[in-house]
Amino acid sequence: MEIPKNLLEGWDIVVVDDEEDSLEVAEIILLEYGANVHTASDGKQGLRIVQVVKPRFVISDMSMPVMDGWGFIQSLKNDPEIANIPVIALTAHAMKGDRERALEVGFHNYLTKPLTVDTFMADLVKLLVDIPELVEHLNI
Amino acid sequence: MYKRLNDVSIGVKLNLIITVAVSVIAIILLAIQIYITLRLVNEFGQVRVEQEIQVIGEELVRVQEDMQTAATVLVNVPGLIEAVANEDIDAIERLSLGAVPSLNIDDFDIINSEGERLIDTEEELSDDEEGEDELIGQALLGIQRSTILLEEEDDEVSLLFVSIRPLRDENATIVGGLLLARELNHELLTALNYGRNGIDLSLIYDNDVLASSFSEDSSAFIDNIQFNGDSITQTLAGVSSDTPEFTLINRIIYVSTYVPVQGLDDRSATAVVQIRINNRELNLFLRRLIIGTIIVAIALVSALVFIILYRIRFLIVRRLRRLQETIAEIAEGNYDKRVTDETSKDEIGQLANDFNRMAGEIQSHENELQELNQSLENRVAERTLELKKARDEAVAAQRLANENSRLKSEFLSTMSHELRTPMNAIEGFTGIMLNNMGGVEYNDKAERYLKKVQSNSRRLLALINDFLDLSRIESGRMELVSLPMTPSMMANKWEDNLSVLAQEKGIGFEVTVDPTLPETIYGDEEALTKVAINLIGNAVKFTSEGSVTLSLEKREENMAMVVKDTGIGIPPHAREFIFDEFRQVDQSSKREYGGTGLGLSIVQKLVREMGGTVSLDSEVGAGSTFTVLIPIHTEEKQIA
Repeated sequence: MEIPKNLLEGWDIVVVDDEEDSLEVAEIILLEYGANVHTASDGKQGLRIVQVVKPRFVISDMSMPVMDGWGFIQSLKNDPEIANIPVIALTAHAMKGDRERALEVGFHNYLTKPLTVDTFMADLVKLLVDIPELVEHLNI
Repeated sequence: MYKRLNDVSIGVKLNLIITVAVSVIAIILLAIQIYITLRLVNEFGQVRVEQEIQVIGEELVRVQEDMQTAATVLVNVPGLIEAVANEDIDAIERLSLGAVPSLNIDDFDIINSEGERLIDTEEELSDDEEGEDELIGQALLGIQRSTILLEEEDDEVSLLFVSIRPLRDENATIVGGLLLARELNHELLTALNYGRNGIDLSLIYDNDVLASSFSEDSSAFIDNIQFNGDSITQTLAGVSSDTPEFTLINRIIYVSTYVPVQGLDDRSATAVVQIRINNRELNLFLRRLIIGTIIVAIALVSALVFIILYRIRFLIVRRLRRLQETIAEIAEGNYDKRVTDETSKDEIGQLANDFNRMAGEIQSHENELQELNQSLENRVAERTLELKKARDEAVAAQRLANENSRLKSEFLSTMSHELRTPMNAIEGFTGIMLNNMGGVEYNDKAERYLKKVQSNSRRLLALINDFLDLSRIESGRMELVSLPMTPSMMANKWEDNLSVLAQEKGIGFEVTVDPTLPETIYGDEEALTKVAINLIGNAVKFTSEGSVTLSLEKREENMAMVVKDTGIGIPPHAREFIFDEFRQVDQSSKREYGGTGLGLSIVQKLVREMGGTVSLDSEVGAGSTFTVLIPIHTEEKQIA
């Protein structure tokens, strides 16, 4: 089924990734579907933006300088104002154990890198429909 | 008990034996000594008795002299002789009785010239005055003598010392006679000092004791005076005994001997004097003798024993002790000790000698042992050193290898990331552009060239992925996990992800799962997925019409993944090498169909890691069937 181009209309989404290109690709795609994308290139920056913006959800890479994905999710959970915002981890191709661990520490789900145009949205929608508090906001 | 006795020191054993032996000898000597003592006592007694006899003789003589003196005194009493001549009894009485008390006499008679008694102090007329009369008669004849008279009076017998003296007037005419008598009684004997020095005299007549110097309050009364009747008879008969008689009364030894008393007419003896020496002296002598003997005996025995023991100590115990000490020292480990002060050739000396030789042997053995030990130690030390060196080298090599391995891992990991990152960016942006996102505008030509960029970058990415996978598998860095997986779910995922490939080519794609497969099996899903992707990818690539099917089947204890296609097939000669890296059937195939040529290599290696096999069946023009067999693990497989 074709994904409607205004699916994420009005959504604030924060994307955290230390790779500029990766960040831009995600941003372009999300923008295409109507979202307000806010980017950060490390966990600390991301946290600040999340506290201010209070997005619908966050997409975060795992390995970043200053504060990595693990630190980011911990700090997020420690802040009651933003602790309930779902965070999706961007995991690298390999570590199976890491995926499980990510779920344990509080990531809602995960997407595997690299993000391809073909698959990104489809996979993302699959995840979003599993989150009750977001489903109602989808512009379907 | 016996064993303990046996363990007692030699010294002690010899002590005992010698003490016993010497004691026995001592006892024998003591017996001899006692015998000699008795003999001595005998002699002593005898000597003493003879002494006494002599003394008694002298005593008797003295008594008699006393009597003579008494007679002389009486005779010279003034006026007495006249009174006798005149037979003036009153005067006689007065004069004589006045003088007598001062004299030691018991009785005196004065007779006139006719032989008639003028005075008689005896209280009673005795029955037997025969003896006295005879003596008086002798006095009238002018005889002057002293003698001993035995008088029997009723049942009593007494012994008298008698002295007679004629009474002469101035003209030496015998006018009368004088008889003095003194009884040998207890008082006399006592007066003679008998009974006090341990010497008693007893006068025995006719088995009766007439008088005795035993004091009445002594332990031996007159009635209890013991005498040997046989000895008395013998003595009277003239047989004198040489050996004195020993009696023991109240623990006092008495030596007795019997001396006959000559009668008036020197007839055979009628009475016997028993001289008894009760002999404190003797006792003392005896006691001293015995004690002295015992002391001497003990002293001798002790000295003897002491000397013998000392010698033994010297001769045996000490030498043995020295030997034992040397042995102990050697036992401690001083192998150079020897027994040095043995010069004798006796048993102990020989023992010491042989022992020294043995010690010498031990010492030399010990030295040999030490040398051997030392050389052994040296060799061990060398070997240990060598081993250590080898070990150190091995450890270093291992560390180096680990380091290399780590570096390789790091390298691979870094390469993996570094290679993929730009590829992902290329893919991302080309995708965005080709999907007309981000406000991009382009014309057809740009689209065509973009597509080329995309397909090439995808090819490059595939190559990189395959290459990295292969590298990891090759260097063993691909560690397969053993986690639960659900075949049906896996198959569904594959279908979802890979059907698009078939759709693009317009061929059919089907995935089936054997229901008899266990619902959960253990293995590495990712690796299996890689295999599936590679096989299906190949199948689709080389099939232009028809279909591709993947089925998961249960074959005994294995799970089979069968990928079948209706493609161009693989010629027989190619089957050998298509699994090799970078090989396809031929060069033209590569160009036409693309692909890295690494796929099957990866499949083969992965399957091998999983402990399975991959086989190929193909017909040129009809299609190919790849069959992968993996053993089914129903529980977590431990990494060996």
